[in-house]
Amino acid sequence: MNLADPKSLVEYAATLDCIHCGLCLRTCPTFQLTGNEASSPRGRIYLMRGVAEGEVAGDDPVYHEELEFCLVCRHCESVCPAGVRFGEMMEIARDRSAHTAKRPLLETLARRIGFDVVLPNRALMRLAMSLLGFAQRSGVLARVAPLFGARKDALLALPAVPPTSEREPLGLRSPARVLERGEVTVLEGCVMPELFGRVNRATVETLGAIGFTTRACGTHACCGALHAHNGELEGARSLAKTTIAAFDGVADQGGEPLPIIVNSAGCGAHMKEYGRLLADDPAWRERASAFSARVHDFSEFVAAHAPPDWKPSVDASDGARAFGRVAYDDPCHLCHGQQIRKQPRELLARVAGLECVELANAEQCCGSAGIYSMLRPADSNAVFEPKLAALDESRADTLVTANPGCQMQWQSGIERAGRNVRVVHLAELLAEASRAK
Amino acid sequence: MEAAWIAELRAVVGERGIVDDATRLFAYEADGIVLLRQRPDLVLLPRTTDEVSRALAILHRERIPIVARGAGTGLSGGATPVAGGVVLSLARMRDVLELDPVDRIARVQAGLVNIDLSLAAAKHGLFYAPDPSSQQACTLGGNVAENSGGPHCFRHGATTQHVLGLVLVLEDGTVLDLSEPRVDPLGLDLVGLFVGSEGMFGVATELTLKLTKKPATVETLLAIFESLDAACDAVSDLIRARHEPSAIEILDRLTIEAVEASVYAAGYPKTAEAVLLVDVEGSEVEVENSVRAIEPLIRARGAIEVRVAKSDYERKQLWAGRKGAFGAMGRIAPDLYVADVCVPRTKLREVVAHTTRIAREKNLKLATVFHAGDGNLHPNIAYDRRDADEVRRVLEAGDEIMHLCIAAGGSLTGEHGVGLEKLPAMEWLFTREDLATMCRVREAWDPDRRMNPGKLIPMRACLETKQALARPEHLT
Amino acid sequence: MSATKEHLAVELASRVVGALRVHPRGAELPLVVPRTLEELVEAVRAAHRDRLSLVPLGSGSKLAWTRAPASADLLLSVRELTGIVAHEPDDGTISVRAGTTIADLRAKARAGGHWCTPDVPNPSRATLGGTLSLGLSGADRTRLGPVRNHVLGMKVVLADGAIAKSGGRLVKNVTGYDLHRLYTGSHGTLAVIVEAALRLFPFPESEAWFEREHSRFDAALATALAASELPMRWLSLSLARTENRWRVRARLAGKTAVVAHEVGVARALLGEPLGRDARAAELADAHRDADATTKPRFARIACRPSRIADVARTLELERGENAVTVEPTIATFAVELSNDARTVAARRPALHALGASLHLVAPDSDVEPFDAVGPELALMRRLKDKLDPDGTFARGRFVGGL
Repeated sequence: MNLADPKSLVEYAATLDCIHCGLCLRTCPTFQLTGNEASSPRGRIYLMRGVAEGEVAGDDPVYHEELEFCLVCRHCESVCPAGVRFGEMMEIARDRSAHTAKRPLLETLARRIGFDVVLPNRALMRLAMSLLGFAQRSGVLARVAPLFGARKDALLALPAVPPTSEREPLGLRSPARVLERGEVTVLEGCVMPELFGRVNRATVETLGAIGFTTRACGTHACCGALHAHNGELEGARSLAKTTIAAFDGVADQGGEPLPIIVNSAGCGAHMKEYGRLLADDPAWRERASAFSARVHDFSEFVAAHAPPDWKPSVDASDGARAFGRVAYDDPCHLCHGQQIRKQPRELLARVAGLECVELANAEQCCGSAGIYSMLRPADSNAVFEPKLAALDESRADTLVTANPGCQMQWQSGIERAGRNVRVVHLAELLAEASRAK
Repeated sequence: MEAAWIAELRAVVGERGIVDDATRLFAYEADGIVLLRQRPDLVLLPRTTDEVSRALAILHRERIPIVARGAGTGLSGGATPVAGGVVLSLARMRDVLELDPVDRIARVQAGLVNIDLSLAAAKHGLFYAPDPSSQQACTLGGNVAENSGGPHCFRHGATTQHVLGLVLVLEDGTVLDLSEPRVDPLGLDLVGLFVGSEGMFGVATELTLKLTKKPATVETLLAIFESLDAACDAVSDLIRARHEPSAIEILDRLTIEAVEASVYAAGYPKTAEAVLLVDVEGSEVEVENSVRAIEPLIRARGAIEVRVAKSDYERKQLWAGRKGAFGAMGRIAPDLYVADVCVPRTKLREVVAHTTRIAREKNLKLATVFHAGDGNLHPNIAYDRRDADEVRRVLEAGDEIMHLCIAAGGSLTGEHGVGLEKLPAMEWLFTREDLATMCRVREAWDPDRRMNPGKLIPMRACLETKQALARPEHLT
Repeated sequence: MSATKEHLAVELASRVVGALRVHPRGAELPLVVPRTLEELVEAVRAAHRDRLSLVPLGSGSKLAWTRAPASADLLLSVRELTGIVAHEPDDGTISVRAGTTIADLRAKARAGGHWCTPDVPNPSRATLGGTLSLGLSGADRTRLGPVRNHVLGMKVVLADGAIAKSGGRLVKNVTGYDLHRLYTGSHGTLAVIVEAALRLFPFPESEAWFEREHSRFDAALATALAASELPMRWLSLSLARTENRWRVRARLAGKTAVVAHEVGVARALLGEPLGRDARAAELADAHRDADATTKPRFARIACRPSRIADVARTLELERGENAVTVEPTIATFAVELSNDARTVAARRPALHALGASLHLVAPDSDVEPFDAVGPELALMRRLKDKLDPDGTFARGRFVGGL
């Protein structure tokens, strides 16, 4: 990784796959915002190639800024006829650009604490969230937030940290609620147990309702997706190995490792690509591929395995109150990252008494993009705006997503705009619908 | 210190409307044809006609050349910047200004993406008919500049037939409001003349476009052939028999392979040497009748299978595959040269076969996919621009293909425009007088030739006009 | 100026075949009729050299549709430049010399199994050159759109005698500027059209002609609009006033089985067809030739389709007995004028307020034929000055005195 060898700074061979046709432009949220070619997938690839061929300096701050501006929603991949793997190229370019571009000291410090210390450690994450919860309840947060400048609003918009009782890890074994058809394990995640413990519980409950016993994976916390997306490939590789090791240990009686159910689209998309991430590591390559093959998105697994007699329903009167018109919004890393579009809709259509409508731009990014909404709150809000307009147009009462980051973004966006729309994870809705009888 | 005129422009378009750093300007080097590259000095991203007008007035005063740019998906170098020039990007002008379902017209800003107009019109049962293969990305303003086509122009006509009015900004900033849709032009047909003028007459900022009622029924036929010749003959037969489907396309084997490996995999059989894709639209009885008449003709030319798409979804897949074909070639090589020649539809087979021969002689990889019904061929040559010798052979092949088509009674371009890429070939097709006339017309719009300079008309023809226009002595 | 040829150079004088009044309000001028393109070029070059101004024409049947020229020295007709240059029935294109009559052109196309647009009145008199020069579309515009959409290329003679072509003979082609769009409808102010290539359409296997009568315009309009919404592509659809009745007239054309089916659908609204196939074509031709634009004085009005009823009210169409032809899907009116040209001219502001345009053909009156052109006139003048700097093609005949 040095400036003397610019080809090492990007994935040069991949930049040659782009034929400059431009079909990606319209899908790109940052191009939509600026209309600037350099803020488009095609433009960014052109800059990467420029770096490799020596036309653009590897430590060029504008190049670095355009890399950071990208949400890595990977919408462009869904329309790219040449099959350019843009997400992967961004991960590599960001990883290597981090070595050459100079971040402010404070930012570097924050990144090291966040990526290297808090995210991978469940206890520290728990502590951090307890502190945040205290700061929220005591009003301290409101007072210190302005110190964070542009990120003030993003901080204040963080969902309220639930009480400790709701932040307990999952039980080691949650038995199927009907005749058992198999065992699975779930990724509890890093932030999920703290802020969205209810989604994890709903995931387990729904799996139980279709006949699956869930076994937890001890104290495992972070899959490394945020690291990879933010140019921390080394950390990502190390966490991938930790994750593989942890989950390989959750096996059935025959010693076969269990399928891994993931209710966070970004994590799922990343874990499905461990095989590629560790491709250069002979010790891990095959193990990683085998692991990736066991990873299933929650909706993917439930749609494939729900028995025909599973009939979730919301009672007409209850349902109307609880959900009303329901619109599903595709998380980018589910539809573009994992090509999962039909399954969540099929599951919603299966719920008796539910009225489903389509969002006009369901496959567009909502601006959450992992920690993007914290890093670049203004851009994140701007990306969210057309999403809100589409929600208004749909006249939905409930917005269903399948990714915790999107759920936070929608929740805070809807609150900010003063709309009366409930935001739920697909698992929450299905758990409730499996319960109501 | 920043030049005063740049500061003035900044005041007009705002901080977010100007790109002046070398890195971002680098991304504007090329449009859809990366062989032609030139970094602009400045890019402007105005939002309104008024901003365009004020910016052009400043650039007029400073005598700075201007290249207007839509999405930069063009394939002739129409939006390749000029040295020392400014790129005027319409990418931030994408509002639908008016959509009138009764009169079936839309007024839009020129930077609106083609497909977005059809999406906006869909709720009224209407659509915008011209459908370039890049319609997911290309702008309507760019379509106007190039008089773009697309598969369904076979029935509905190219862009020019759908442009009812324009708001134009001339090189000195003058705004001409010709937006009122007129049955026939009032005076000279400035709107009709502007369409296809490749950005050399001014900038169209707002477009009044015709919307078309969605057909009641559409059927898509996919015919599979064991030879490209036979597919070409089938098309010539359809035309000869006076059939009027709405689109007739051919994809050859290499194209099929590339498409089937992409996200646009359409279910084209990978073993076919060519597939013929035919859309028939109209009333139910019209469509039924046409399909019944067309199918035996295609079979008679040896189609081994003729499938009718069973669902709307399948139909869309078949077309998405066709439209993704250009980009899918990225799998074959880093760069693609897309020829755009036209020939009489009686000569499809002989010309297509000849292009294959040319590519083989030059040891080049050729994939062919084209609007067969219109006689508009796209021999696509895959190459790597880092290989100078290959680039040379590609350009030679391109020239030979153009010569071949001219000899067959054809032309240089059916929908991509002349731009920079086919500039020298203009002299093979047109006489000095023809080109001088174009040059004079251009000078009526843009006396200093600052709008997209150096495109379409070979410089020599223009210099000759200057001489011709000097009055003969006996008149002075 | 007079009809004498003394002031003409020998190349011109030797070609004079007679004299013609360029306009009822203008003088009689010598008429030059070259027999070949070379002779025509020679004539234009001589006029250019001698700083004479000429008025290009075809048969001359519509000379009075424009204004009288500011000054002119001679008339130059292309009527002897006739015949087919190229006809590719299997490609569906035809290329003809400008003096060819529309009737000959259509007959030739038909022999190759094709329909050729425009289907204009009195086709055996109208030349293609004259028709394109005025930008006239025909009754088949309902289906095929304006004629300018189907001109594939042109050859013209410029003011200095240079021959310049644009476009080609291909159904699809964007090589070079669409100068043929500029020449189409330019009323002979920029160049002499000497050759044009057109796109052809399949000749219908079968036809049907419908007529439905109403006593009131509004009712007829409602029927015509209802007909336009039926699931079929009318070849022509109009409503016309004759003998104080409003008649909706509609022409179906296409494949036999399709027309048979469509007749069944249209019957409920329009009744039984008055004629089928050859008889339908006869009826269509007869009505086309009696169109209001064939009268010595008439007004042409165009508007947005949504404004048809408003325009009809402004024109007080319900009153009067004169011939009227309305094409509702295109939103054009042709209204015969008696001695009321000034009355209609006075309605120009009201029509403009509705977004409508008005063209008056009343050569014996002093009304302005054309609507005023906005600031774009300056550009039109620059085009004229670039292509014809010396005014070889007589000025003053078209909008803004072009």
